[in-house]
Amino acid sequence: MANVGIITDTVACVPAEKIKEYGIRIVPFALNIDGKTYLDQLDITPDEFWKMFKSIKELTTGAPALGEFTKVFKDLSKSTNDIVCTFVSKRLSAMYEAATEARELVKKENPRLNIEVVDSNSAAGAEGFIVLEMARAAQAGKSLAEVVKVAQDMVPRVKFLIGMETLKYLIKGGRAPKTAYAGELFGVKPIVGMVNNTGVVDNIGRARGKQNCMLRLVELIKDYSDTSRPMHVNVHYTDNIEDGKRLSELIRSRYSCTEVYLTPFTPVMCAHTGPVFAVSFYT
Amino acid sequence: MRRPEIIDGKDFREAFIAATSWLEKIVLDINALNVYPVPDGDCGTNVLFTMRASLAEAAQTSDGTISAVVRAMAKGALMGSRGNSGVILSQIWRGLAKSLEEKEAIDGKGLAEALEEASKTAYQVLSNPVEGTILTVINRAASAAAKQVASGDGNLLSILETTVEAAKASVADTPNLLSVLKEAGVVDAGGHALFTLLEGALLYLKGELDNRSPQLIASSLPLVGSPVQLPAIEEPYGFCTQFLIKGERLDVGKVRERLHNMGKSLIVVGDSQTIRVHVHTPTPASVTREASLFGALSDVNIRNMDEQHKDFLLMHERQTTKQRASVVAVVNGDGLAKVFCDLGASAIIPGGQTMNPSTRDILEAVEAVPSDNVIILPNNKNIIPAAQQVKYLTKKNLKVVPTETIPQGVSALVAFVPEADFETNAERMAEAKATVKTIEITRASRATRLSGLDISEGQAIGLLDGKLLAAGDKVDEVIFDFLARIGLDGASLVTIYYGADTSEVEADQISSKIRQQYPTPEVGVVNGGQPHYNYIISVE
Repeated sequence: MANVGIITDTVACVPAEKIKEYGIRIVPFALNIDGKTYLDQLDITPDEFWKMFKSIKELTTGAPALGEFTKVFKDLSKSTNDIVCTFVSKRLSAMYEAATEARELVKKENPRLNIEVVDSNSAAGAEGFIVLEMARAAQAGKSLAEVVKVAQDMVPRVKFLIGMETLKYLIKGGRAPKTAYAGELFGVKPIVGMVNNTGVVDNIGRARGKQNCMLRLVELIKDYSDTSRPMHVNVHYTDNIEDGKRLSELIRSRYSCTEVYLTPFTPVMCAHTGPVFAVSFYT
Repeated sequence: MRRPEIIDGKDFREAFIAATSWLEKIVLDINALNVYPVPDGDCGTNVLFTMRASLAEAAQTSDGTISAVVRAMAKGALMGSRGNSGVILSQIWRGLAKSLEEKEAIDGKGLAEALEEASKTAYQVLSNPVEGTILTVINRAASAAAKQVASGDGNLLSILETTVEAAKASVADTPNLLSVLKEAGVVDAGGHALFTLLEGALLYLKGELDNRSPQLIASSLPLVGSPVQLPAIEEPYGFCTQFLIKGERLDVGKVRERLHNMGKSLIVVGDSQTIRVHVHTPTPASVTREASLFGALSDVNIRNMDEQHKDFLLMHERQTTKQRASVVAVVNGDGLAKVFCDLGASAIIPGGQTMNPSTRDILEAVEAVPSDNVIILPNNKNIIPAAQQVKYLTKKNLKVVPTETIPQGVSALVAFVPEADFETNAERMAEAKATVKTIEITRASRATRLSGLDISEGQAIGLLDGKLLAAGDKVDEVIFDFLARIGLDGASLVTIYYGADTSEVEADQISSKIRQQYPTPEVGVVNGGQPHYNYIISVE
């Protein structure tokens, strides 16, 4: 029997080599930049995105057309009838809805297909860790039901924290937690994240200065994990890979990590956050 | 229960600990009585604080003799006294202490003698003693005690009972002696506070405190028809000005003479090293200037007695989420106030000209903010005690994060997370304040020798985390001296808050110089607008 097929989106920040290794399929988000639509990572890479970032006037993101989903479903259906997919939290995006609609369309044509959509209730590399475990289970030959269970078990465990330059992008996009700091004192870096399984981005705190912000992120990790167990970490960067490297170094020297990645933060999320450094993790 | 014939220092202290708690039960009612000399409502509180200061000092002594305990109480009362009544009360203690010198314990006769001395001392202190106040109460109480001893009854408790009865009667009589009381239809608050203290002490010694409440003495006269209308004040009272003068070989008489015509209700008390001054004057600056010729001024507290509106400045309703805790911060300077508000403080208390809000100011802000859990950031060592004392005056849950400087307050507030619980916030905020170093720059108001430094008037002086460690002719020198001492290797942020006396241009110049010498940290300039301090600089 063929392995269960795994699908996710570009928001999950799954490391490129893992996508290849496990044959994970990706549905790209749409980036609407100054009237033109780019498919995330297909039409534009994160580096290219950052080069343009400062000069962009209008920027929105969205779930892609249904066609992008059905394309991936149909493609996968050539090798397997069992598919499990997970996308960014349905409270943050219409991806989940779009996926379930696409599923109905495809199943009409091909009733033998079994497609499960599991809400990640998360985003960024946290979502990505759910995907990785799903993929590993699939590769080990687990059944559809078992892969779904793996995904569901992962959902409450995965978390991420973001140290931001400024809140103004989040505020503009309407996604800023109400209590997050929006004043003017220079050097204040808001910290937000998804750590409590709420499905939305929560205000976590703030720090003064980039250095302190990084240190704060590193310390916060222990508040949301069980440090007696090995840590899985995916550090994200935006316009400055050195920040990512530094943060990764700080984390590895502080916690015993069994899995560490350094990935660019998806432009889809950057569009809403502006420049950040972030860490996704679970134990 | 025991009915003692004699009491020693330990008994005395316990009795007045009980008496102070007793007073606390009706302190707000007593506050509501105060109309002399101006209705500022905190007379009961002043006495309460004075007693707390007094008892705090008494707790420091392990010597159980009555001499040592009352001496300690007098010392505590002097330093902690606030307001007219508080200061007079401290003199009552001083008189008691004088009479009780060298004694281990006292009986009824000893008590009566001590009360006499207390009354005499209290009267001596005032240039114009006014009848119908706490003075009358101690006077009549002492007379009654003396009369009883003379008649042959030397029993301690019965002398004390007589004392309390006489005090009560004289409190009820105060409206007959003081027209403002009559007009307002109330008894004298200071006098009432003293009576309540004595009542509490008596009941403690008799073992009769449980399940009882302190008596509230109403005026024996019918209330004037209209609600308490304050009499029209012909001339403005100006500012209630209090401060300590510290020095060597101070002369109370000389100071009193010098300040004699500078205002009303002048009280000058103390010893050769510490003098406390209290006066109501329209020109507080001239008083402090004169006083500063004698020594260093401290604990300066100036309050505008004509102001009707509330003393705290900014109130922000945080409508968006139900806050689990509100933060109240003491801040001087418009720019700094804005910083704190932006960072999430619910109320800002300005310290006024002297940078020290009254305990009441802090309390009012605490009561006014939305949450029942309140965190106070005093941002000044001198305010921490007052802030702590607010705990006893409010039913709200209070935590004081003991920030000693504005930058510590900023760091603490940055660590505040509205959604986190009260305990966690307080802990995190206390930890955060330790991560920042503060440099404060101001100008020496007179020549002095301090911390081994010879300082000339007008020189720039610098404090590092609250300690005066450098003086120099140029502000730059002092700042860079301190930056070198701190060592900016690991620093990521230097914030320069410039004060009301400093120009933005000058502040920018300094920030450029810092950037040149220390390229790593981010350096920013903020218009703080604070009085007195040209620069407050944080390094983190």
